[in-house]
Amino acid sequence: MASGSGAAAAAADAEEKESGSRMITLTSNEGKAFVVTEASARQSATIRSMVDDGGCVDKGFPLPNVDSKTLARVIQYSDEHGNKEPHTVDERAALAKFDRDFIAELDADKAFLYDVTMAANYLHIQGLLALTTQCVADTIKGKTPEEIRTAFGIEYDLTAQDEKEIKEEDTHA
Amino acid sequence: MYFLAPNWSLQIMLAEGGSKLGFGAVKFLYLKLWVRKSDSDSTASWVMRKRIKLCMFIPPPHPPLRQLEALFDRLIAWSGLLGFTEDGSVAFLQTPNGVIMLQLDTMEFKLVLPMERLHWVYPHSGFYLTATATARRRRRRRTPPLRRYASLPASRPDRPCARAAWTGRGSSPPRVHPRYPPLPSPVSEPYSTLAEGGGRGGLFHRPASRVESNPSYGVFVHLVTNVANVVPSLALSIGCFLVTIIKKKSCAFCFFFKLKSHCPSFLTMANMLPDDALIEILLHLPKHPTCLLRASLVCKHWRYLIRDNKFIKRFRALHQTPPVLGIFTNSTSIPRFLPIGNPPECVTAGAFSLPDPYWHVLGCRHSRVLLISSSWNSLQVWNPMTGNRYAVPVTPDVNPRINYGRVPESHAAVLCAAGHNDHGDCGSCPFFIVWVFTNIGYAYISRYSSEKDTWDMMASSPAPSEVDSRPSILVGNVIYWPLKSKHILAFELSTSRLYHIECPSETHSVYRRNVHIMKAEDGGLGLAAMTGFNLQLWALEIDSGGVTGWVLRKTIELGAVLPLEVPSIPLTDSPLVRRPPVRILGLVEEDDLFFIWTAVGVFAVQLKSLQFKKVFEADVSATFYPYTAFYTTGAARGYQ
Repeated sequence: MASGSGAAAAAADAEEKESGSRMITLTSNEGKAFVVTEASARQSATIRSMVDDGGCVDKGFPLPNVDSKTLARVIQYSDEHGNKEPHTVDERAALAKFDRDFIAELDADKAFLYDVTMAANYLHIQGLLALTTQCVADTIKGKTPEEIRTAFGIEYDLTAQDEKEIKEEDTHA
Repeated sequence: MYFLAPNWSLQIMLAEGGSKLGFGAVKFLYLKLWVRKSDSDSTASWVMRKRIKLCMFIPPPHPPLRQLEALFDRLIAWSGLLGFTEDGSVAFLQTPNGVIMLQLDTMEFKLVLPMERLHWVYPHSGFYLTATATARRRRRRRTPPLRRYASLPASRPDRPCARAAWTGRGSSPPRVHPRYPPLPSPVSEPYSTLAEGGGRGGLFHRPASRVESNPSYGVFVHLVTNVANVVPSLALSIGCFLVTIIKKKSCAFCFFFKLKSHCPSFLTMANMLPDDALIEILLHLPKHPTCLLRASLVCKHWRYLIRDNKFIKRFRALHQTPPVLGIFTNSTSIPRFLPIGNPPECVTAGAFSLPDPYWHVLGCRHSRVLLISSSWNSLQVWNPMTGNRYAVPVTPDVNPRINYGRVPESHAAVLCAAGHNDHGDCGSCPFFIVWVFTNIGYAYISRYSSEKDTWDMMASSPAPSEVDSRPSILVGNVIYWPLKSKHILAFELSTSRLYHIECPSETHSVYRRNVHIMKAEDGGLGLAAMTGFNLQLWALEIDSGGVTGWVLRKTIELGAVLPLEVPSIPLTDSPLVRRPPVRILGLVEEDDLFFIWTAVGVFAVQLKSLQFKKVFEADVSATFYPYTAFYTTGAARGYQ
């Protein structure tokens, strides 16, 4: 790159950086690229720290833990929360409604819900993680240990000795 | 040198990026790393650079404390250092559970060969290129069958969880995972994971074409994000192979948890959730302790996560105010403890049963219950969550001998003495008992400190009337008690100042038990007064002129809120109707939850949201002492 155009590009870059309108490429583990606004990408603390550390914004960020379907859904959430800043009561209500619909849709497909939870956990998207984990927690709520084990496919591994100890300790429930 | 004893397990390594000679040694419960240092005066010496506890390799859930000792013995007997990679960044360790691979800079580790007992390993590392891999495979086929190789999968690149890829729980057991093909037998096709694995969604390595097009997709998930910035053009991949002369069982990785192969895939997905995501889920469970208790009975791992002190602290911080578990009463006609909530979302009354019917409840605060014997000569501080009981004699200041042959009108309150803001975990804190009594126009405060084990007279002040039997309320740093007529007695804990405040004149004619001290919405002193069906909420405010006065903040028409059948009987002012139609039985100090008696049952009403719930059908009219606490049993009694 010629030095003159390089300087111009750097200036444009700086300007873009200030306005926060840079575009960032996220690549799923299947190699599919998703272009999102920086504001949207900054919903993820993982990406935020990499951008702030001056990471390779131009080259994009490979996300080897997230598949395309999950990433698309995660981006749907972070676009809604990152690109719009709710100022009025109505806007806040609209965002709350988006969250409700978003999680209701996920709740119907548990396997996908866990995928999104893991992606939110990996990308550190606090809002999305709170939303999905609350949804999973709601399915645990009110279930007996046996029902939880069935729902989560967990093998019962407490020994008779453990059970005895638990009964001695926890007489409250 | 002293550490070169015969029972040390030693291996030479390259240290500090290959520039220095180093060695590692395992003894007792530590792996120690030493490096050879040259000083400016050209003398060389060994310096210890790192000490790593071997306990970190014990997978959760940890056994009970008494079994830990045996575990440590096994750890000492079976631990050894097997070798390092050529660049000294990865160590291989023998543990009682098998061979562990440890990344020395990040301290991430993974069980790579369970059940193995080795003496040394020769790790092989290199960049992953298809051509060489196939060439190697061809060559390998000619090798004698006795030399066995096991590939060391670092992680599955397309769906591992960042931390779990190494630490174990998230790493899926490949043999039983229905979504991914099993790890090929290391004997027949030692390199097949390299050559073919990725092509059919393999376990640990991407196909070469993918690696070349996306060079920064490495094998180690952690390295991807870090190294991608530095060497994005390099295909990063480390294939490590162990040479072993011992018979190899191919049960790789079934170590941390088992999966049922017949489960639908979403179940195994749930099981694959990494610990930090699982912790997030458990944190969002309702704060009622039975939810956590039931979750902790699911399996050892969940129990381990929930009983962790850090988890309990985070849970409390997230949920802020402890849940109301139930209500103590001094009634003789109903049970002394009434759990709140519908089964299974409620505690068992058995765990909250009083020592005997002769003990009376004086109040509950900061997870403790203050009880007094029926003869008013001894107190008991009881924590139902831990079962701890603490007997205290009553203050000598109320001894009948110096009080005209009787115990003066008294009340007492228990509170945490630790002086912290968050009282969610006060089970083991020291406590105060603040005793108030009135005698011939004066009120006195005597305070017991559990640390000093003594009663001290703190303050006295003229009092317009005697102290009432209604419970105290702690607002900020001040304890308030209702007096029998129109006044509130206040005791400032920090300054030991004792004074009284007159209630608003509008409440003077209200039925005495329907006037309750409360915490106002802004955190100051408030007063709730029920007249007819209207609940008036007052707050003590200081106006611009510096004058303190009561302000009526809100009036809630309970008749419009609660599903009451509007009674046909005349309401107030009738001398025949002694008891008002709606009564306040009690309130939760740290919350805006009121318990209100009506002719159709007892309701719990949240004043802010006006949400309500009928908690008892029975005609309960005793004073309520709500008990609030977080789940602490596991933390209090279990291993820390």
